This record gives sequence, structure tokens and C-alpha cells, in this order.
Amino acid sequence: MENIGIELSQKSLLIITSVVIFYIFSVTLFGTYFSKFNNDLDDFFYSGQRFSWWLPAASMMATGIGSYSFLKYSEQGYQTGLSSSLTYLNDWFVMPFFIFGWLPIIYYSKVKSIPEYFERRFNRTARVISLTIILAYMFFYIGYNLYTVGVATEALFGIEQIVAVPLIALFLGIYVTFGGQTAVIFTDLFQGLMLFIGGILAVYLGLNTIGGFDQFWSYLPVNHRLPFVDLVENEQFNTAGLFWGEALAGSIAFAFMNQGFIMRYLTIKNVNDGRKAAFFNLLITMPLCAIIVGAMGWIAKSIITKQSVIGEALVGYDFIQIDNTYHTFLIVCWNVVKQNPWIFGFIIASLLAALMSTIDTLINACAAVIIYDIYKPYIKPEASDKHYLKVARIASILSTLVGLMLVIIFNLQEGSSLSLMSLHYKGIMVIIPSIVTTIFLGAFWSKFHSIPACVAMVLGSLLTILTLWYPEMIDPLAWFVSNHSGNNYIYMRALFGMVTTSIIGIGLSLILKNNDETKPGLTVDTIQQAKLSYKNHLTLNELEGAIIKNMTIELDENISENQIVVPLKHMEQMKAEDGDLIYISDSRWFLGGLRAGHVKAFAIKGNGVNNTIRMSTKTMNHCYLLKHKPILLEKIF
Amino acid sequence: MNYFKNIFRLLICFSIIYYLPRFLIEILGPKNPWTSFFYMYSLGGLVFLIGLNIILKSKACNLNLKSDQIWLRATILGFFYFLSLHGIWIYFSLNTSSAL
Repeated sequence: MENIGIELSQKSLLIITSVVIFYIFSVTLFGTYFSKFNNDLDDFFYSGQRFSWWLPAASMMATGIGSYSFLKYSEQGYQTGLSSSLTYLNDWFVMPFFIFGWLPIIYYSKVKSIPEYFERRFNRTARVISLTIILAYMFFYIGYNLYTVGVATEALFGIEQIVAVPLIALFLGIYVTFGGQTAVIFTDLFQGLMLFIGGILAVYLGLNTIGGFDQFWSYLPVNHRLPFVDLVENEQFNTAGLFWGEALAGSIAFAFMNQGFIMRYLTIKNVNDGRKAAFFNLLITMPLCAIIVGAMGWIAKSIITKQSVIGEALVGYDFIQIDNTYHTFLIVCWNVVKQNPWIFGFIIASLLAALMSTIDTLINACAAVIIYDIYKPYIKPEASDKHYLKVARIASILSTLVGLMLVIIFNLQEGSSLSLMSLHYKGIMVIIPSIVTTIFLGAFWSKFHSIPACVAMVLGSLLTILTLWYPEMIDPLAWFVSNHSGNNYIYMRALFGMVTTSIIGIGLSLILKNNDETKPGLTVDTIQQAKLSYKNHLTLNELEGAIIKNMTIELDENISENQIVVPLKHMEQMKAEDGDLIYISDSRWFLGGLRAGHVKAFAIKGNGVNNTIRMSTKTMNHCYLLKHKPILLEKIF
Repeated sequence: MNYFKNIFRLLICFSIIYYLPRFLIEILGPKNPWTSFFYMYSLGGLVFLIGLNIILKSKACNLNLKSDQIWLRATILGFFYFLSLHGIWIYFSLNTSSAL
């Protein structure tokens, strides 16, 4: 076993292992419980577009923090200080494009996956190309997550990655395979809470070790306190590169094409709630995540600086020394908890929570893409939902296996001078540029058409890959945007990919004749048409009305499925008209929309009973409503 | 006419991208944290403004709807929230005492 600076006794090892195993079993059981909320394929992947904003938003926190986040950001925080938080705090620049453009487009057009968007916006070839790139992106993330948890378990328990990683993947596979998206969201909510408590506990104990925030701050070198690194000096981590590669390409990839996040937004009851989730995510979740995952590195730097100033270990603690920066998080945690195996076990369980909550989303997302983009269109178009659900579960297992195989590739990179952060972005910055550019041009420029889109994606990707062997191809661009060029490009590679894809795409669109049919609802200038198509109606009623609470259900089997009949008084309060789309939900807020759905409302002709709505048993069951529980109604449009 | 307008706009964007880092390095120096701050928020602000322009022109943000007005205001405020956060952070980093 590699000596990482932690000496675990047999007893400590046993306690930590027990805490971790107890945790994994609990989450697996918790997740599989939610399989009963999967009626069909839509429920399995998208939970029927019924959740309140806070439920997916809270679970996004767990998705946004992977096991790699703790190790990678602690290492980066130790090396460059608080600037490690920058990647979590630079996403706002693309916010107008997302909340007013991309979110309504995907929500109202009911696109199930990004490749499906590509087929509807361009053609089938574009779908296949984008599918290849997106699967590469998601498999990369699954592999990277598993690899980092392998790094942690190998260092802690001495279990070789070849044994530990498949074992953890097995447990993950079980609850995602059976639970689907609802299980993912609810376990992520629980795990988000878990990793938040674990992370905050570690930060509190770390600050306590050094003597409080004042001591931490005063022993932190000034350049480690800053939110930014130098503009160009550090080739692996500099502000110019981070802006082009991370704030632009990375943010667009995360918000626009990360199937896991897209699926979260598609579970939400309406676009305005989706916007609330996006705001909460960027304003609250991201800054919190930045602290939780990076703080151990910042504290490590401050403690080690203080040790060198006073010439000895801090009173009551062992001398902390970090030889392998990959293990910064583990070493500092072990020492700041005063080597208490119970607390350390809890923190390691939160590391696992981070792993599980990110990978389950990715596995579920991969399965969604495999079903909707490969199996359903190409292999078996006319099968039952039951059949697709079965195949979706097999696809979840296959996705886990591919991720496992990628761990071997990451293992081969060990020993290089790359930090975990650089290793991560070196891969991502090759994969994403061509596809984020094509999504962007597709959504925001209606003249962009299918042939330029396909050619731009393929050539853009090939040219970006080529820069791995010929990095000098990036020199002119890097010099143009930052007055500096170097040899080890990581983030600037993304800019190169985006620029080449844009030039090819825009150039060909202007030169070639556009033979594509008009496709309303898939570009930013046709969102109104997307709304009409979503409502399946000729008119939109966007008057803002009241939310009606405490309604009761009366069953009436003469009413068509997915329709309800509402007293005229309440229709007027909602400013709703016959045929308007209504969100109907169990009134208990803490369910977050677990028992809810979308229906069309019609006013009762004649005298209706106040506070009573009528619907068929099928509609009630479809929305998972309970007959004796009060109901809430909200008009969508 | 539109064609020339677009070319003109592109030229302005390219000029900003080219001259901004050179100007900041010249005025503040390459290692000054404010250089990184102004680089990030000037170019980020440019991207943000282009975004606002596109969503308003395309009517994706419909100012006749009260909810869209509120979201638009909140989006703009969010930009200044992060800008202020980073600005204040740099100020305090440089102006608080150190034990070193």
C-alpha cells in the first residue's frame, strides 16, 4: 500500500469500512423504493415533467459534485488557492442564452435528448454524429468519477482499483437500473444533504485546527487568497484559458448538452420553475459547492504555511505533509478530525455520496440516449414501454461497464505531471468544442442548416484532436486572445475547436443553399410556436392567474383521460379558459410534485360543487394523486 | 445593409478581444489580479450583452409578460452580483493583514 500520509490501524479501518458499507446499502435500498413511481418510459427517464423547482435543484447539487470534485478541487486549491473556485463561479455569462433560449426550446419541443434535437433541427446524420460525441462525453465522466474513487479507496484501504472500482460500480448499477430518474432525483437529494453535511463538517474542523478563520486567512499567501490566477502565466491554469475554455465552452457544455442536467430540467413542472432551478443552482449551489470541494486544499495550504512559520506541528495535531497532491483531501481530513475513524468514515461516505450521485445521473442519462437515439429509432421502433424499460435497464448496466473500462485509460496517465484538474479538462476540452458550437449555432441562428452542421461537427472535432499532436496550431489564436502562446494548451484547445467549427459552419451556411424544411420551435426566434405545439392547441393564454389550493377530487369516468373539469369560479381565478394546460398536484409541498401531472381543464357547465374537481380514475392514477388528499391547481398557459 | 452592419459588429468584437488583454497588461501588468478581473468581466460582459441582444430581438424574452420582465431584471442583477463578489474579494485579499 502506498504511504499517503495516513496510518490506519486495523480497528480504524474496520470502523471506516463499516460506515461506508452501511451508507452504500442504505442508499441502494432508498433508491430502489422509488421504482414504484415508474409507470412508463417517460417516468423512468423524465419523471413525467411534474416536479417543483426545488427538488431537481437540490438534487443538482449532488450531481454537480462528483467524487472527483473533492480530490480535484482540493488539489487545485492547495496549489493555486481560492482561485480553484473560479470554474464554479463563471457560468453567468451564458445565462441569458440558457434561461430565455435553450431551456424553453428543449422544454416545449419535448426533446428527449440532445441527439434527438439534432435530428429534428438538422437531419439523421447530425443525430448520429452528435450521439457519438455526447456518449464520449458522458462515458468520459463516468470513467473519470470511477477512477478518482479508485484513487481514494486504493490510498485509504490498500484495495487495488481493479477490485474496488467494479465493486462500487455494482451497487451503483443496482439502484439506477431499477429506480430510474425518480430514484436518481430522490437519492441525489439525500446524498446532496449528506455531502453538504460531510463537506461543511470537514471545513469546520479544518478551520478549528488552524485556530479559526482569522488564522486561516492570515497564514494564506496573498496570491492564494485571490479569486483569479494570473492572466496567462500558469499554462495549466490561467484566467485567459479558463475564460475561453471553461466559462464559455465548459459552461455551455454543462448547461446545454449535459444530458444529466437536461433531464433534470425536463422533470420540472414548467419553464418558470426551470428558471428558478437554474438561478438557485448558479447563485446558491455553485458557490457552496466551490467551498465544500476546494476548502480542504485552501486549509491545507494555510496549515502547512503556519507549520513552516512556527517550525513545528500545530498543537494537538500531527505534522501534516503532502507529497502526492492527489491525496490532499484525504490527508487533511484524516488529520483535522484528529484521526477519529467514525467522523472520517462519515466524510468518506460523503465522498462516496458525491460519486454515486453524479454517476447515477450519468448512467441514467446514457441509458436515455441509448434508448431514444439508438434502440428506438434504429433497432426496434414499435415495441411496448415494458420492453423499452427492460432494455433501458440493460443499457444502464452497459453504460456502467464502459465507464469501468475507461478507468484503465486514466490509470495509464498516472505518473504524468498533470494534476487531476488538468487530466479532467485535457479530455473534456477535446470532446466538447465542436458540439457546443453546433448546438449554439443551431439554437440561436436560424440560417444554420444541416450540411454545414454535419461538416462543421466532424471537421471541428478532427482538427481539435489534431492539436494534441500539433499544439502549435493553437498558437496564433492563443496569441490573438491573450497576447501569449505556449506549448501545453488545455483550455485554449476548446477555443480553437469552437472557432474552427464556427468558421466552417457559418462559412458553409452562407455559401451552400439551404434545402432544409422550416422547423418551428427549435430555434430561439420560434419559441412561441414551440409553446403552441407543447399545448397542442391553437391559442396561448398567458394571462397570469392565481394558484388554487385545497381542492378535492370527485371521480367521474365519463371524463376523458388527462382532462379535468373545474368549477367556473376557480377557472376565473386562474384566468383559465377551456382547453388550457393546468398543473395539478398534491397540495403537500414537501412531496415536491412527486404526486402531480399536467392536464387540460374545462369549466363545469351549470352549477359545480365548490372546491371540487372532477376527473377519471385513470387521470388520477396517471398523476399519482390520492383521492382524499387536497389538490392544488396552477395554470401553465 | 444588414450584411455590412454584421461585418462591422464582428470587427468591433474582434478588436475588443485583441486589444483588451494588451491594454490591460500595459496598464496594470500581467500579474495584477485586476488584470484577470477586467479580462474576465469585460469579455464575459460582451458575451452577456450579445446574449441579451439576441433574446430581446428574437422575442424569446417577451417584455409584454410580467414574468419575463422579472427574469430579465434578475439575470442582469445576477451578472453584477458575481462582478461585485469577485471585485470585493480581490479588494479584501489585497487589503487585509497577513502573518507572512
